[in-house]
Amino acid sequence: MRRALNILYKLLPHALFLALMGMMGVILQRGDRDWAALRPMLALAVLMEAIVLLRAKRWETAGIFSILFGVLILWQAYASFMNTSVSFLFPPPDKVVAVLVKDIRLILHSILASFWLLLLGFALAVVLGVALALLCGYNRRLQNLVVPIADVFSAIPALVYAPYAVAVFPSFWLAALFVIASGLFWPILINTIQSINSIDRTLLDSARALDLNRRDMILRILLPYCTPGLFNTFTMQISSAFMLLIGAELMGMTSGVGWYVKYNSDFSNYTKVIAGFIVIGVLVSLVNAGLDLLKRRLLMWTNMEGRA
Amino acid sequence: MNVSSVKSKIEVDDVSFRYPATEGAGKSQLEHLSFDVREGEFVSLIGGSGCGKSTTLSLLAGLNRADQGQVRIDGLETHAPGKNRGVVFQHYALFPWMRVRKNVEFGIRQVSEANKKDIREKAERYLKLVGLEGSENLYPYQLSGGMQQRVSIARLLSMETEILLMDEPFGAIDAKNRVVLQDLLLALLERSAKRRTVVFVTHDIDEAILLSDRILFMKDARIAETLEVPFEHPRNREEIVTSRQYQEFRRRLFNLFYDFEGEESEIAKGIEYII
Amino acid sequence: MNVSAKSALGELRAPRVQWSAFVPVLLCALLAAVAQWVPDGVENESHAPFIALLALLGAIGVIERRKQSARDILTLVVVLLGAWEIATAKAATSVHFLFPTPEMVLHVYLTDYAQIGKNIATTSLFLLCGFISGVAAATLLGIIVGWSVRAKKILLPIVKVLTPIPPLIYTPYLIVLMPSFFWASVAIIFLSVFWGIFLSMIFAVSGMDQKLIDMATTLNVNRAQLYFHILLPYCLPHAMDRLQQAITAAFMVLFNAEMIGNAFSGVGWYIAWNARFADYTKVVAGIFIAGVFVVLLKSILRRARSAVVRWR
Repeated sequence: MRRALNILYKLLPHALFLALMGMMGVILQRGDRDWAALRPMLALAVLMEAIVLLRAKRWETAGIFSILFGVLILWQAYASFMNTSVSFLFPPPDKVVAVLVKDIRLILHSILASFWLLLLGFALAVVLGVALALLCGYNRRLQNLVVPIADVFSAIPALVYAPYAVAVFPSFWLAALFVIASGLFWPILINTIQSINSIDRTLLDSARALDLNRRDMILRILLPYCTPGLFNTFTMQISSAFMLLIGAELMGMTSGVGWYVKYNSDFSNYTKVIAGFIVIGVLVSLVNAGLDLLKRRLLMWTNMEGRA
Repeated sequence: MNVSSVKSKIEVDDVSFRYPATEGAGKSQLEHLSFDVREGEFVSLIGGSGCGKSTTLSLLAGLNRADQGQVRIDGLETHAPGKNRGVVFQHYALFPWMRVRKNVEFGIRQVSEANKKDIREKAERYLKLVGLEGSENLYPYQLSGGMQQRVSIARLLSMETEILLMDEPFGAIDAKNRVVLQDLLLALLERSAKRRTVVFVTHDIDEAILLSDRILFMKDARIAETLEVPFEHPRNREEIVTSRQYQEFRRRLFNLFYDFEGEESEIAKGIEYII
Repeated sequence: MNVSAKSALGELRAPRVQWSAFVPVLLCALLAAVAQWVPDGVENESHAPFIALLALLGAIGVIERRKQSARDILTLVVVLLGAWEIATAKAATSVHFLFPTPEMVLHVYLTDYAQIGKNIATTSLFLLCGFISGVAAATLLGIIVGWSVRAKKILLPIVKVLTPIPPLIYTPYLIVLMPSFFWASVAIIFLSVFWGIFLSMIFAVSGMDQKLIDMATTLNVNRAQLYFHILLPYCLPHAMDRLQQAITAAFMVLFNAEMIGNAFSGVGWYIAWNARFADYTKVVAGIFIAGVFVVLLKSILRRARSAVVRWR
């Protein structure tokens, strides 16, 4: 009995793949769409099937891709064969994939614009945050002053003062930069202060016994020590950083992935809107995966929790 | 404790076991392991690290299932936990979100149908027995290691199971409390109305001799030797430890642990001298 | 004078100045005097509420005069208030529409409090509905999926991909899709809160100490007992840790939705609406309200957490 279920499980994604191809065949036949328009979708389906075949060894591949195929089939069926009055809200996947391919240049440009903004904002927040955190490390009184304030401010979503920032700053881009940087600044500050506070006393003492001057102390001991903490903070903050980025872009920017979604949303071109979602999803996953990889290479000297 | 010589309570019959690849990179395996435990007997599994004693206990507890061979309890094959066995681990596995009393009550509730009031009384009785009266409302994190282990033991005893499985229960406790708890366990088992069968894992020779009726010495995933402990119950620690019989028995056991050959016999002689 | 505790990194102290314990209080009085008697350069509202605020701060200064950090913070606050007041009301000759005076902002609170109250109520209601449903669903499902090795293997990669996507981005879409703004905002908050907690619950269950699981196994717990007596209490602290992050995310998403959607009430809406009409006094007032609101909620959560999780 168990074996039968297991075999069924393994065969499921392939069956669904065939069902999907069959569905597209029907669409072709009905004349709803022509061969060229369906090509990207077909390519995607074939690609997915290839992955299933290549990674057949892992048990979960079958399950994951069954779900993915299933979603595609349901979506395609609902969008193509049902006639609802709000069908423009639910574009079928083949159109979405086609639009992704067609608009690829604009999408890449948007990605770069967004990335640039995010990077700058993050860099600003890190430089200011770490500098202030170091100062706080040296002066307890300053720290006791800064931490409660930072606690309060880190709770406030930066988007709240976005409209104000938009009015005050000469350009949307600067306002967006301000929002992102200030949103990231407070958590970075707090986390860096925490990691400085948690430095093992003995580590500090042995560093001091080496008679380092202040500059070396900071550059060679403290900063490397704080890097894992910073990394962890960043990975935690990345989702809110993206949220800030997109929120800021939604406020009136003229480029970036957030803009892409809003622009097309304003024009009710929901095909492109959904394509935009997918792009953002892929983007964020890639960034996370990249960060994971970097973390593993750079932080080989820490244990799993990211502490020395 | 009287030992009935009829059917065995626990039978381990030609058992082989290996941890699955994902879990057991460094863990031991068992190969064709066989032994019996009679009802009412206190058996110690003793051996060096990695010889498989904890693994054996986990099979008896039902946490793992033998790949080959059978584990039989009361003649029936078992491969899952049951109400007839209670377990204590080396690291006090108390549920940290339950107070001490609740931890014990939880165990009792699992094996008996009594009502709330009776369960509570029983829990309090056993906690008093292990010397923790007054700590019932504390959370585990508020207790010391020794006290936490005592709660574990109270939980085990209060479940009043026929079989007690104990995996180095006193291993993580400081020397003084260890003595206290060993004496406590011995006294409780000797005075218990019902016969309890105990399988006890330890790497402490003295502990094994003091507490058990029979010692199974494990080496390389098998039982290398079986020794009957020559002391009568009720046992008195002072008397036993100072007797000549004890010294000889202990030496035998010690030598099993460390078999010296060739050049190392000089060290052996030196150490033997100290003993 | 109390001595500063040793700083974390060593001895780099600012030159010691003899602060008296009452300096912040004195500053409050000074600022109040300046506000009242130095003539305004601009057309301004009554000074009374501002002076009342300073009196309040002064009272806090008196009560907390022993803690140096409290004194420092208070001093900083008063200095900033003073800078604001002087820059906008005293030194300037006309009110810049972007930079209202403190008196004008306070005046808004006094006159508009009914509407502000209504907005706060609306935002709170939406937030609660979305938040509670999201958290409850995420906790339960997270425990169930986290426990089942198979479900975890299949779902975890998918969830890891979906989690970081800011639900913010669905906002315009959901607003159009859902029958009403209420449902749209509940859906958005649900989505923003759900994934993070779901993921962290799965990790919490996966990372549970094997010894506890073994103990539960030997105690013959059945499925229901496992979920409700073992896994749930164990994972609750992890969930509560995440709650604070989650509520910040929920706020962000809700405010944003209110700002761009077809809402007609709510704190976010208040800010955006007035920004659209260039009434920046109200905008600033709204921002302060939002800030206080969020901070209050977070500290309530913090207290709830320590009350619920006493066993750590």
